[in-house]
Amino acid sequence: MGLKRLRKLGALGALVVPAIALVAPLAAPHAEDEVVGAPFAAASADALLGTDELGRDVLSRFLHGGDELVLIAALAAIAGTAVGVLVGLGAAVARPWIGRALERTSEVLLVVPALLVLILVGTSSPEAPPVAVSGLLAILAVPWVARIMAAAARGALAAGYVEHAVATGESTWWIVTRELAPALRGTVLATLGLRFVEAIYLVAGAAFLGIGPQPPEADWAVMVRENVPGLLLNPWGALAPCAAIAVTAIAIGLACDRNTRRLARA
Amino acid sequence: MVSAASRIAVRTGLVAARTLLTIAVVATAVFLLTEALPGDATSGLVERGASPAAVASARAELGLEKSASARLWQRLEGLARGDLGRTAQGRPVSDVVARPLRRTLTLAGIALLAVIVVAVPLGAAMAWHGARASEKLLGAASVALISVPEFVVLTLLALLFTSALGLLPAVVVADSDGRIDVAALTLPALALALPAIAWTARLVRGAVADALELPHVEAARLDGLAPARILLRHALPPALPAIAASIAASCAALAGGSVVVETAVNYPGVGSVLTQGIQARDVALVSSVVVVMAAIVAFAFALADLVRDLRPRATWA
Repeated sequence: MGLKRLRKLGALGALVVPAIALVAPLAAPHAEDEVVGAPFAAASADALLGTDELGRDVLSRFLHGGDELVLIAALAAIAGTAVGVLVGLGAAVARPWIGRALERTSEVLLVVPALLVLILVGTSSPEAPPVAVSGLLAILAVPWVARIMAAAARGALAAGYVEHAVATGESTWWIVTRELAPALRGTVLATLGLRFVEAIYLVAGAAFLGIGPQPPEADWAVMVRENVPGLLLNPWGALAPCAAIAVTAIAIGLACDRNTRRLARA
Repeated sequence: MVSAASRIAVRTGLVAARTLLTIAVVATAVFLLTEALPGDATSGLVERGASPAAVASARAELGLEKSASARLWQRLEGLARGDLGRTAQGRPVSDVVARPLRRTLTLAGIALLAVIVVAVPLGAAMAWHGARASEKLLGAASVALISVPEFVVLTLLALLFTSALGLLPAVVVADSDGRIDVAALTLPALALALPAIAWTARLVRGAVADALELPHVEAARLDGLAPARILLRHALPPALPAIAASIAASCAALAGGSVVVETAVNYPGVGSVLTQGIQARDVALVSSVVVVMAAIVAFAFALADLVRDLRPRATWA
């Protein structure tokens, strides 16, 4: 069994699957709230994946249901990783006390399930735009990313080139963005992938509980909740969005697996 | 030895103090977060069209008229006495949460048991066999499981049961009296446990693999002792702190995951309390639940810290 091939497939999927989710709404044959038949009707030529609890086309809702999830998660992962990398590497080079503060912060964050924070904020401000969810997830991710990067930087700091840059009076910003971040790009990419998987997990979980997209908006997690009662009548209603979430998360998880192992040893 | 007993007391005291501090910090952070957000405990009442007088009396009842610092102090002092505050409707949170919390702990406890029983031997076996192809494949499978949300695992398991048995597995697992059919917990517990097992097994493998490289373990291996004996007597003890920490970390994952899985199967646990809180926009209730769950996870981490701090040293130093 070619594990390497599996991982290459994952790397390819990590780019392709989210991209498909973003453009898929354009391919939907029906609007996301258009009723096309009886509830939980089996697949037919008219509705290739059958209909959902209200008789809407599962395929169309499936194609509409991934863009927001992927976009929120990607934004959260990119913002959280970018800030975390700068903070973590900056702390490693110039401000050791920030590193210690990060240790303490992530120790506290460790005991609070992030999903519950998301639920708390969603309860308090249901009107908050999706970007705010990305922002919140990014903030929660910063201590984790920064801690990993600070640990990863320890090895690089001992190497001559950083000492040389410090000695020649380069600024911390320059050392972090031009020297350390490029040198540690494997760790940065693995962290980005992990954050994306985590963000998908959290955003989908919150949506499943009613935080985020509201009916009749199509969303993979909401579709699962809506269509589980009709599992015997039309399994596609729940199976298609489940498979989509699973494939998106697994593709990215596999793509960064090898780097994750290296990261675990850091 | 007197010194050993006093060492244990001091270590336990330190861990307890750190855990209480963590809980206080979490409670303060949650309080500040709800202060910073636009809604407050009475937003739900306003939305449901309660009269200004009713809202004002609810605000007075909940003490929202006082300054933020006074309320924060009241909150922390209440928590120290075990008082979780009141919901937006004025019911004590502890009354609302007590029974659901027991149910959640039952479900998460079953999952945790499965995690310990399966993940520790699995991880140890993976470490023992090293870089075999099957181990690599298992690694890839565990990545897949870790990445997927529990409600997706649950739905796929339910589909599997449906197509294999031709019947829908019980979705509602509590009858009208609130009694729970424990057998019906199999599916949700499995959905909770599988990702946690994958996660924990990987961490256990790492910890045991490191322990296997210790000189005295290597020596036992070269002496040709039985694998089970080497693992149990020599490799597991030094790996124990790391294993305990990873099990504590999986408690955090179980706490978050159980909320979702419970909702998926209509199990009347903390998840249903949270869902009601979300629908009623009851910030007071939701924030108390967050603090309670964090306190439980903090307790799990405290136990893991004790395993690390109290292990006897001389045996392999």
